[in-house]
Amino acid sequence: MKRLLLTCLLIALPVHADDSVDQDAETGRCLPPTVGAEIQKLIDRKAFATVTPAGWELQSTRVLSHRIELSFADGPRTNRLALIAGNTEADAHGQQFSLRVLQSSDAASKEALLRAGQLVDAAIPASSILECQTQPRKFTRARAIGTGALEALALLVACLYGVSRARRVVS
Amino acid sequence: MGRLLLLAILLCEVAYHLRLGGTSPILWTDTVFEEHEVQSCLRQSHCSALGTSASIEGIAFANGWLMLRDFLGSLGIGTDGTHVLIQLLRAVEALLLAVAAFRLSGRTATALVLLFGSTAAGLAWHVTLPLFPDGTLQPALYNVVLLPFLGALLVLLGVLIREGEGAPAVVLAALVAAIAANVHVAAASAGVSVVLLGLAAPRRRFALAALALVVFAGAAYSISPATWQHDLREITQHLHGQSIPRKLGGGTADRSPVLGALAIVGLGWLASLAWKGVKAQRLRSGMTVALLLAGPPLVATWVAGSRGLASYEARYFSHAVPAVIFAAALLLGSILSALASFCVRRFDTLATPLERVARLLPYLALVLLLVRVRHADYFNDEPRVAGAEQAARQLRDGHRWTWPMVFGQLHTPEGRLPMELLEQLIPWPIEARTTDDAAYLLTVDRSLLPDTLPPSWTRFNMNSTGAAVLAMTHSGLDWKHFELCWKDWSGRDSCQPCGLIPNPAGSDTQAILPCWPDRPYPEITARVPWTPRPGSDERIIMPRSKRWSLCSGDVARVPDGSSLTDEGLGARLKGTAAGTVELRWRPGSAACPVENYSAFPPLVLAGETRTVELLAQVIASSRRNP
Repeated sequence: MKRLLLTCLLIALPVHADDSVDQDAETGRCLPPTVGAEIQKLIDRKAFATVTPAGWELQSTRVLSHRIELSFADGPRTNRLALIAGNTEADAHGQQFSLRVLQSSDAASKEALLRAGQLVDAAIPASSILECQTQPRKFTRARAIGTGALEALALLVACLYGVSRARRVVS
Repeated sequence: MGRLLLLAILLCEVAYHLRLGGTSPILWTDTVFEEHEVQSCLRQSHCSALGTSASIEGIAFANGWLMLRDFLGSLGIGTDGTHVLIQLLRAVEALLLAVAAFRLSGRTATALVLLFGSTAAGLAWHVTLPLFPDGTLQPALYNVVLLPFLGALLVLLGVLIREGEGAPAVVLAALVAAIAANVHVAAASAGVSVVLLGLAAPRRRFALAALALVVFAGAAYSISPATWQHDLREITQHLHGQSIPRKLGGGTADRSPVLGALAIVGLGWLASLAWKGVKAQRLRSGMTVALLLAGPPLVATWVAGSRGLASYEARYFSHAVPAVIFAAALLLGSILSALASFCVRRFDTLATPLERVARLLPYLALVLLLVRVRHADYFNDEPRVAGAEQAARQLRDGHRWTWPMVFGQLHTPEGRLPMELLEQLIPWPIEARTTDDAAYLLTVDRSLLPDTLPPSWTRFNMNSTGAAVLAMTHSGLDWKHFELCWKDWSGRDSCQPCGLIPNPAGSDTQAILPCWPDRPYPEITARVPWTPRPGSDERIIMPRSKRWSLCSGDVARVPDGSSLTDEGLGARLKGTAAGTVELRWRPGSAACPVENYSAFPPLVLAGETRTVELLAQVIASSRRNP
């Protein structure tokens, strides 16, 4: 019985891993590491200063697997923009990216963020954006709950097995 | 050990951990982040395939933990229920270690495991326990709190592997290690441990090691494929850039926890090699298991710490702490047994009394556990999720509040964190309503509250001494539309409109107020419009506290007819004409230390005189936990 349960667990985990994912959450486009080099060129040329108001300072850039995040400091305020590879719901669209304002203090800041986003969008060649090899970033509820249930089951079996085997020998 | 004794120990441990941890988790940043993910999964079927962000730049983790929480949530086990379950698992953890120690070394080591095994930080007689802190915050609910239990389970399974239980024990240990790696990325080192345990088995070593490797890698990847792909990609990107991911935030540079733990398992193992005696073989088995389970995480923490990837804190090797406890108990137990044998050999008359003492040891440990339960007391007046949830329901169902009202008109000494939690706990109506209602939410020691509360106050008892208080009042201050001014370090003045208005839907941040400076400029002023309420005066107090880390300021200006009180620390607002109240903070001053400043309006008490004065009195008399 125990062997059967173990076998079921071992088979269930990998099989379960292949099941449904929420495709809507992804655009299917992914960014290679070379994208960071293109943004670095813009920074070196001080190109962002030409499209953002005086006093704005680029705080950070993050190149994630399917999106780029830019963060600008404007005095005490922070303005953030995400460039999502591919076509998805956004505040504006470039050639390669959908531009989504994450945080802005006013309408003028939002405009400036979108200009900075268009600059990045134009600087990155279309050929550098690849079809995603990775899995999407969202699971369905059933997938998440199912995996959680299997994890809980595995822990329960391990616990019962450990205590029963240890006590049997001791007794 | 008899079943009754085991049951008694388990009950004592359960009582102890429930006393320390409580039945509802405290308000904690990670709890709020995780709750956001869990609710997003359960309500909208948007479940993270990555997990949450680790404190190492760009690394995602903990998706296995989130999915466990999703599963529990689908069964109706929410934040409080999961927190209680974790306290039960902490109790089971002690029991698992006791069973493993009893199997290898008998009563003395078992009693010592129980005494050492109180792995959660706690207070008894105002002395911090235990000897082996596991790096978790007992009353909080976040991924790391599961790791010590998984570590104890690995110790028991490791002992079984070493004792020749074979493939079933190896497979289960590999599965537990895979789950641990998906609870916290630092626990991926458990995979190395189970492979080494396979190699340490008495028979079919290479086959068992290969089995452990395959099961661990397959299960760890299968639980959350996107997380591992993402992390591998991030690391590859960093390697392309000739750099390594950076640790975000602070941490300790104190290496003593890692060194101490390494010393225990390392020296213990060396001592076991030289041990002569009837139980030498079993001691060596136990110490080998402890070394193989604790060694890889401790070495990984050491390497990561020395490269700036992580600090040397125990939370990065929480899953190794049970193995360290196990090693310490086995070693000390063996030393005590050897001493007893020596005494018996020298003095025959001691044989019977020592035998009796040995028999009684587990019962003595039980008595000490009971004493510990009696004295356990921890974080009694910290804000708890249960209090926040009851207050949220009272606001929504009893006072018809909507989410924009909560964001703009509910104030707490904890700043914006309660807002983020309240948004997750229950569904809120989202329409904006204009009222002059204001509410204050505090969690305090019940003894600080008057016997009879004002009718507009509601008290929610949290535990034996703590209570959450929701105080309703009316205030003419309009926090949704005010002018914010600041003076920067060069003395330049700037102003801009601001307001406590929640982010529009679709934003990926919660409770962020972009218009409020996130830098602690030398002077920040809020010019808040005030509309008088016919027939009633209003009181403002800028509270001071020895418990909460408040940024306190003063009232700089009030409308005509009103007056400042307490040398500018408060005001009485009177009159019939609307005006502006100017509130001022000086970050870096004694009243507002820079570390207390956050990008959210500091607490200002404003409303009906009786409510505000009583709130200020409660806040002033509340003291930090010892």
